[in-house]
Amino acid sequence: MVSWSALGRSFGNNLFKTKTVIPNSVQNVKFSIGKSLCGDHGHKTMAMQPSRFQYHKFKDMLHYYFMIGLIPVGAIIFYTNVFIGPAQLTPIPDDYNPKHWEYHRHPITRFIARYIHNNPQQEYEKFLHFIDEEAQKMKLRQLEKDIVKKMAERQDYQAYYYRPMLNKYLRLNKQTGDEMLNRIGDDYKD
Amino acid sequence: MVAEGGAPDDNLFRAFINAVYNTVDAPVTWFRERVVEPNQKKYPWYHRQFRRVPTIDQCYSDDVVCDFEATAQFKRDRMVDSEILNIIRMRFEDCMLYEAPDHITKCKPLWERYKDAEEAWFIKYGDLGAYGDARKAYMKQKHRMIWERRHGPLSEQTK
Repeated sequence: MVSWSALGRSFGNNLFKTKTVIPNSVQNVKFSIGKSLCGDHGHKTMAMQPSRFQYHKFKDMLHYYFMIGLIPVGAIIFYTNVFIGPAQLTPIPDDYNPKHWEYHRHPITRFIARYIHNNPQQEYEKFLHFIDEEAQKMKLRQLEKDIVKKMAERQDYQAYYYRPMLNKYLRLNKQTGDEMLNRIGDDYKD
Repeated sequence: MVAEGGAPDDNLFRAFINAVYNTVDAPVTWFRERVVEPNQKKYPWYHRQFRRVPTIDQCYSDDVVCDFEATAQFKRDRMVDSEILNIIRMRFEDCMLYEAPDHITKCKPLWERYKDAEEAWFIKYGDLGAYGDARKAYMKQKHRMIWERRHGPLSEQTK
C-alpha cells in the first residue's frame, strides 16, 4: 500500500524536477575583470563567501605587535636581567655622595632615572625656590592691597588718583592721532 | 620542619610531592644557577637618607619653604610610623595564626601593645583628612592639649 502511494509521490516529484545542468561556477556568478592573458585555462571566478577581513586584520596586528613590540622589548628585558642583573643593597660609604640613579635597584629603572628623569633633589629645590618667589609676590600684592584699602579708608592721601605716566603710551597716542589726522585730511591748509 | 642531615627521608608521599614540585622548579632553578647568576654583574644601590629639617613648630608662620619641607618630613614620618604599626600588627596576627583557638589569652600582651600603638598613631596622624599637612597636625595637637587642660588626660598614651 505504501509502495502505490510512493509511486504516485515519485510521479508528482518528477513533475517538479527541472532538467537543468548545474554549471561549474559558484552560484551562477562569473566575474571577469578584463580579459587578461594568463594560463588559467579559461575562467577565473571570485568566490562569494563571508568576509575574512577581521581574521586577516587580526593576524596583521598580531604579527605587528609581536615583531615591533614583544620581541625587541623582550630581548632587552632578558639581556638586562640575565647579563646585568639587579643591584645589591649596600650601606652608603662615609665619604661618598651617591648619584641620584644609584638609589634604584633594577638596571632599566636606573637607566631611566639617569638619562630621562631629572635629579629628584634638584626638582625639589627648584620647587622650593618657585614657591618662595610666589610667596614674595603674594606678599607684595597683599601689601599694595592693604595700602590702597587704607588710603580709601582714611581719605588722607592724594595718590589714589595718581595714574603713572608712561611716555611710551603718550608717544603711541600722538603717533596714532597724527596718522588719523592725515587720513581724514583735517590738516589741510589752504 | 625539615630535618637537617640525620636519617635520610624515605617518606614516599613527600618524595612524590617533591617530584611534582620539581617538574616546574628544577629547570627554573637550574637556569638561574647556571646561566643567570654567573653572568650578572655586582654593583651597589643605596637607600636614600633624608636629613632632619626644622619641624613646623620651629618655622615662621609666613615661611612657605619651611612649611613645605616640614610637611614633606611629616609625610615621611607618617609613612615610617604606618610601617611600624604594620609590623606590630603582623606580630599579633602571626601569634594569632599560630595559637589559633586560644589566641585571646595567649596573644594578649601583643594585642595590648598593638592597641596602644594604634591609639598613639591615631592621636598623632588620624582624622587629618586627605590634605593633612604638618600645620594641621600641629593645630590638632594644640586643640588636644587645650582639651586636656580643661578636661584632664585624654588617654594613657598622652600622659
